[in-house]
Amino acid sequence: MQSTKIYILIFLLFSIFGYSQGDVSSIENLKKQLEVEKNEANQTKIALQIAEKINYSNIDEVVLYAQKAYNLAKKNSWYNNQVKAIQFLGNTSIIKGNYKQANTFFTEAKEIFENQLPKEYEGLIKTLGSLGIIASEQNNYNKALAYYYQGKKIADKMQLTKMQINLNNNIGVIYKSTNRLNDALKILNETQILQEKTKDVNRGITLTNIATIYEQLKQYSQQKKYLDLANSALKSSNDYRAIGEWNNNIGSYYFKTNDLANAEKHWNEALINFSKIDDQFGSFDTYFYLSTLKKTQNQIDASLEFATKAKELANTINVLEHKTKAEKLLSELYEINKNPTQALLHSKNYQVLKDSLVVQENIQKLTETEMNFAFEKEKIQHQEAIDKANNKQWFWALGLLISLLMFGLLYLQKKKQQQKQQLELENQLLDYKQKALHLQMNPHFLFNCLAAISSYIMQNEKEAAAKYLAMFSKLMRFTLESSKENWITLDKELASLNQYLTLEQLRLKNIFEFKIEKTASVEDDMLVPPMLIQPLVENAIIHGILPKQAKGKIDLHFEVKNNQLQVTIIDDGIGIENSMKEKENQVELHKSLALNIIKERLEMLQKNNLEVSGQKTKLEYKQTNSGTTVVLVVPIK
Amino acid sequence: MIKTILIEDDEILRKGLQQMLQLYAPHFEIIAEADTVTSAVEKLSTLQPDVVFLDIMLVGGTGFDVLKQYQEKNGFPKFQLVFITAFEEYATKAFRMSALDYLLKPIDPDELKEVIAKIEKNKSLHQQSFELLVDQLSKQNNSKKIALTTAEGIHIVLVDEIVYAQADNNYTTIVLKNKKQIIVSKPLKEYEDLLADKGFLRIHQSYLINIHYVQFFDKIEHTVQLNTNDILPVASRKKDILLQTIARITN
Repeated sequence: MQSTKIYILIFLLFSIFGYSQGDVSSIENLKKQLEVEKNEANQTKIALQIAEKINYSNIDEVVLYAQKAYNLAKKNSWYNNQVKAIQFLGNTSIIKGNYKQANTFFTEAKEIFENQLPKEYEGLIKTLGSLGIIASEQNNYNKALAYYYQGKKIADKMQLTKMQINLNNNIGVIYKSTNRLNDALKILNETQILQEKTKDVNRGITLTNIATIYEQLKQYSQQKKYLDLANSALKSSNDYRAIGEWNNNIGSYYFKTNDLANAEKHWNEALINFSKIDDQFGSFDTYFYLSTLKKTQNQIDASLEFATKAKELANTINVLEHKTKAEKLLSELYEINKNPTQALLHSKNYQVLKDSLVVQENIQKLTETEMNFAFEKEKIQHQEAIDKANNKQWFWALGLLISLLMFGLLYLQKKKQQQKQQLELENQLLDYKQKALHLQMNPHFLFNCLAAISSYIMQNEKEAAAKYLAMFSKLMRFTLESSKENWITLDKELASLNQYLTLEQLRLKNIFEFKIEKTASVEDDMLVPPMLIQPLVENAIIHGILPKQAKGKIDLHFEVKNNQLQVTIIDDGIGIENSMKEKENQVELHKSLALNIIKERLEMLQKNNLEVSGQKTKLEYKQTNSGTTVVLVVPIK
Repeated sequence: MIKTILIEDDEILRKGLQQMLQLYAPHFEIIAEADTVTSAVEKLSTLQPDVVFLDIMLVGGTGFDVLKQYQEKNGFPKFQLVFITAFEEYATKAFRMSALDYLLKPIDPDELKEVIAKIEKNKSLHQQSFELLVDQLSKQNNSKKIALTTAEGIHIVLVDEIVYAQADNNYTTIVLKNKKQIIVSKPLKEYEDLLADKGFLRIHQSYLINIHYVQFFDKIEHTVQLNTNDILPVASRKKDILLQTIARITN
């Protein structure tokens, strides 16, 4: 006979602690309270409390109260309570084997978590876990693994041990189902140890699962050892599902070791437990086992009776694999019973189901290819995004990205304990990365420089071409070097600004003069974040001086104030407000995101470097009588 | 002599282009230069050139501002137009969709020679191309039309009416819903790039199809049947992406 099915951990909404038979009176009290309560918010709360207290010991009641809470919460957009209710409803659907409905519930929950409750990590993980269970129970293992690992990533990051345990266990289930038994043993053993440390109530389940794998490996002594361990872990448990599964498993052990009396005893025990929670999945297995047992004992009528029950359950839960198993057994039994009509009927049913099973497997394979494809596509898109950045804005984007990643790392080291904040930060980094890729200002400058060099060559001005090319190379070298660092010395930053301004001066036929000054307090070897100033200077030239169509001036002033670097950029162009006004009437080609990116980089710097000191970064624009003044304040090291 | 105006805000670049024209097209007489939107509009209106080289980024606006203001004053431009651009991806796509000529900076002498040869063949700007460009720019690249240049002239067709395109060396045959075929002297790759975000997929070295017209995919023969009853081969490496794309569009 087939080995016992390993089983999954449902992601219960609340911990199992706190429930005991003694609570029955408080459940009654709550029900009475609910009847008289007028306020809808309180009604929702009480209904959820009742559902929680009943805690799956009476599925129909849980559904009743969860549905009430759901209706109220949805009506009033109380997202927190709505998802709580959905989780009760979804879990009961899973237990009852109504996967389609369960899937609808949890998909709704997932959307709410993602859109309305982005910080409820635990809730999101539970939902992902439940979606994984649904996929897994329908034998869609790839999809299930994808959900589980999505959840595990968050759980590991947030160090949510309980969630890690549940996910590990369920990943183990999948490994087992796909015959990766050693992987399964490894991850389940890890889980079991974690559970022992945290005194997790579900340790019994994990131990039972390990036993199942040893059964499949035909190491029956190991199987028994883990079943005994599971037994002591389950002793004080009220988890009927776990106890039922354990009984199924130990029954199967006795059956294999030919102790049929004990096998029957435990399987009957399993049925009692499963019926308490209406677990049709568990009951199916037990009926199937009992039927096999009776068949071995040559009690064909009794065997037929169990097999028929198993078939009915298989039809209710509507899982192809189960239906196939039941029909096969029935046709065999009728054959022994010398009932050729029934035997033929069930044999035919079996053949049809078997074919569908093959089709289903093929579909699964297709799904797998599709998922691999989606994964590959994502990889390609990712690569394309990087390539694109490389082609267009590689030098700015790279610098930004690398410094960002460095910030992220620093933060990690400093604040390991603040895991939650870390995740938020990473999300920001991601956003920021995307925006960085859209920086549209500098490629234009780059190609214009190259075009200028080409022009000099055409005009046979060899010396000018060589000079221009050398200067351009110097600037490129500076940019490349500083793009690798997240802090560079001020003298390097100043040299690259000087280089940039000289190039633009040459290209624009000295349409402006410039001056770089610093006070005595500014030291050359101070470290500053690179490439924050250049885009501001470029703005001054392109949007300030050029539209003026007359000779202009740009002054850069550096000073140290409150232990920060203050940079003032003064131009005598048309002024920022006039520039904006002119833009309104023009055909828009692209939005310059340079300013926004600088602002965001400043915010990041603020978070990472200045939080303790209470200092603030700053970027201020002002139109003056004679142009624009920009003040930038950045941290120094 | 062909009367030419250069509109470019960078003096060095203007000089360079002048030199290049002298070298490759000495019969192009540069009658004026301009570096701002205002001066460009003024010179175009008064001097009536044959050819205009127009930079996109100018002082006080863009090359498109020049055209807009010129058109408001003088109506549809009669001169031949060559755009010059350093890095305006979005504008570049609009030129390609409208089949208008453009040069990238730094200018490649070979590309300049090609453009000159084309200008000498067609003496005036195609009004339809120009109108399509205006449409493209105003709709932020969501325009539903594309310009196809053939030996006889320019066809403006709705992208939705293209069923598939077939490669034939450096030519491409475009097949429309009404079975009309248009032969264009551009490689299939050009249309693959332009139409990729409009529901088109290259299913084979020689075929680019509009996914919306797929009627049946034959898994055994590796072919697709289109609504027009054409049956086209699918390269085996394209099978998965085809199924994916169909699934995405039908869902």
